[in-house]
Amino acid sequence: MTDMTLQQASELAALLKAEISKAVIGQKQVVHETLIALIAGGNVLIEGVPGLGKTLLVRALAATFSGQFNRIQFTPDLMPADITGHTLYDMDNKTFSVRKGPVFTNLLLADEINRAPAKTQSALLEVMQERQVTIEGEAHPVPLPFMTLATQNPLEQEGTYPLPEAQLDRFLLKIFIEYPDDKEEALMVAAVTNKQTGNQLNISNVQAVASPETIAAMQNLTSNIEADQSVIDYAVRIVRATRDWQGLSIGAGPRGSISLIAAARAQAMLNARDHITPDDIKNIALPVLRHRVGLAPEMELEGYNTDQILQGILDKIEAPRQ
Amino acid sequence: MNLNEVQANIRLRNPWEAVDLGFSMVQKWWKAIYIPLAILTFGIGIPLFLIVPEGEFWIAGVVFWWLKPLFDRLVLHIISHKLFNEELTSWQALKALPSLIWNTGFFQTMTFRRFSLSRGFNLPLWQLEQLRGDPRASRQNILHIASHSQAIWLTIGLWLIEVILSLSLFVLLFLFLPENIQRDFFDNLFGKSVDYARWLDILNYCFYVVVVTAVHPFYIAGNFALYINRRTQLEAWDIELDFRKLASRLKQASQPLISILFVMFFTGSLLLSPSPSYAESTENITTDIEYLNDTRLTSDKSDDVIKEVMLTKNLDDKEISHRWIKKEKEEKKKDIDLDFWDKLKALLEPTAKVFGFIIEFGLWLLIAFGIILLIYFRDRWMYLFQGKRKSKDEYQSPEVMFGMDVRPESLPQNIVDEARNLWQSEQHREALSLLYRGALIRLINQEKVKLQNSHTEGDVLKHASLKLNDTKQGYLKSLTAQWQLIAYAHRSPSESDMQILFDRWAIDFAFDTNAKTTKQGERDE
Repeated sequence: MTDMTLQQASELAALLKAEISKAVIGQKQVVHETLIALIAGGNVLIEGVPGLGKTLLVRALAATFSGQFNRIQFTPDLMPADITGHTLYDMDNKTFSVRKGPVFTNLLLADEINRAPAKTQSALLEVMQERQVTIEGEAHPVPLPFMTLATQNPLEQEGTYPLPEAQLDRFLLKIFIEYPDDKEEALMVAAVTNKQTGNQLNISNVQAVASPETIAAMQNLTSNIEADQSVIDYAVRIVRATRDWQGLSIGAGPRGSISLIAAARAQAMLNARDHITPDDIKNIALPVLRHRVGLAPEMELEGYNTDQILQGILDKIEAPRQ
Repeated sequence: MNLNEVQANIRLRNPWEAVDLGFSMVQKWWKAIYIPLAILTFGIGIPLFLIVPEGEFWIAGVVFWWLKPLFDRLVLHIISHKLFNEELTSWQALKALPSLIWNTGFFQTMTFRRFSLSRGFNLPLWQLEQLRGDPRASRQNILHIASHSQAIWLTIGLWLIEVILSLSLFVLLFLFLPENIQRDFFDNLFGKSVDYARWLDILNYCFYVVVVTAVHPFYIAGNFALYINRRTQLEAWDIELDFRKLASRLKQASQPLISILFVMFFTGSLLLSPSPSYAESTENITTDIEYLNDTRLTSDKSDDVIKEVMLTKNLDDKEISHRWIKKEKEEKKKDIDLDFWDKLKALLEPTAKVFGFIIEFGLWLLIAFGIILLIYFRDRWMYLFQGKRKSKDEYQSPEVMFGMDVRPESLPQNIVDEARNLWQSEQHREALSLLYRGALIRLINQEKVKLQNSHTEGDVLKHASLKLNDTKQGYLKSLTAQWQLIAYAHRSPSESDMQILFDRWAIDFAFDTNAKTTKQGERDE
């Protein structure tokens, strides 16, 4: 790994961002965090009200590296086989043939994931963790890079199935997508309605600046970024603190610390740094941990949210000093 | 004061019983006591709160405490009127305040008698009996023979109750706090760097005012009842009252009795005038009066009877005892001694009075001098009432942070030289560590940047940017980058980068106070 390569990777990431921003106006933090998840090889859970450009983001991201993109609209009657695929009996050849589901793609958009029951949601567990799907006892790898972007709506809770902890833990980041500010919204409206008929998403401006292989190379580069023991200890301290912190009923597991370091590495790479610092950990801690911890009921009643409690932890845990 | 009108049951009580009587008075006349008292205490407490600058509410608390004798006077004025059944409206009570201030030794109580533990017990002498000088002192000595210790314990006990009630109000508030604030409540209560320390200060003061208003009547009423009880002991008020009751009862009873006797006399003499036969039949009947007259002895006879009785064995038990008696000569000497002391006393009394006058005059002079000093040095204390911002922004630099000593004394005399030496002896990490620590200590102590243990290098930069100019911030940024490189990437910065850091330390970062270091740096070059 040379500085130049790192520099190139960082520049490429900046290019990716620039291309995405042609389609997705504003939402810089969301784009930044999605890129971190992509580079760290993780999955993303995006929470936001409908109409904020979640699908557009995923499609634009896929377009930037010529990746495949599939979308599954989760509904209560969706079956696991509808996601993963299934075997079909071929009458002509008298054999069973595998029909691969939409999960075999680079970017999978699981829209409104909490509308399907737990059984269907769990169909994603294997592919999210192991990057493979087992159909009829046979493991089928999915194309790399692979990333699941699941969305959920924070408002409509009726008829939904909250994601189980095991499932939540497999998302590297949980990103909140908020309403754009007035300037961004005006820009967006102008861009979307200009020479446009109908409601379809316009990603024609987005150009491919990378390939799936380049993304995979970036992921490899990221995994080699230096993580000092003191920074790892800092991440572990934060995660361990969530387990016995008053105000949290459930703390993050060891996967929380692992994800913190992985996401921090991706962030360092975006900044063309070959090592991670405590700042990387602190900056990415909220999206990494917010879905891995459970808010105590009394805090929920008091109107607190997970981010406020986690921020309290970050303000109390000593940063490394040597 | 009319003893006949007294509203309490006056009888001899033990002192604690008397205190209890005082507490009952407050319960009975609470409306008459608390309304004017609350007007007075809040009328003083609120302006004090508004005048005193933020963060200095302890001053308001002390002033409020110091003004307690004023509240004493109002409460005693009300209770003493109520006890003798004199109606007093809140307005009348408050209107009496100026005269209560001028005629009750208020000035002495506010100065050298302020710390007296039996202030409340002595107050009736000043306020109700209007005694001053020697008569007051001798009267006070007599009153103090009993009940004084109870008055002191009452003061201490009620002070403790004030403390307990203040704390209780805090605990009550604590129960209503949201849980995440509760968590840090006690840490922050005793820590210095708290956002809501101001609120604790305000609450502390408000609670104190409320508690004093609530408890103070009990203090004065308890002491007043002790005083009344002591006077009952000394002047037999209970017996006097009993006699008065008896007298009034007899007076009431005698009126119909006389008229009945009068009617009976006339009707009896007309209707029942005895016939001679009746007179004969009643000759041998004796009335009680007649019987008594018959048995009454003359004084001579009585003497005889007494002597006779005294001769009985029980009363005639004589005993002879012997004892030594001083001779006449010694008694004379004693008389001389007594004369001598009297003479000496007579001789010294005018001198003592002169001395007393001189001391009093000296005290007045001292007070005048104190006031002149306060006016002369007004700049030293007036800022307390002006500089709200000043006190708020005051920042106490911590001594330990990030687990290391961050006092300026912990650094070597010349940081750059020391760091250079370490760098040259291949101790790269130590050299940068020293430089970075020096920068942090400077930020904390000189630039007053508020840092916390949880701050990362990025946070330090962010907070420093609010206080540092661009040059200093630029230097700190490059120093932080080099430090992060060696700390987290385990790579030494280049020689040239380090030289820049060493050379620019005094010029770019520490130029205003470390002039000595600058010169040293130039010499090294």
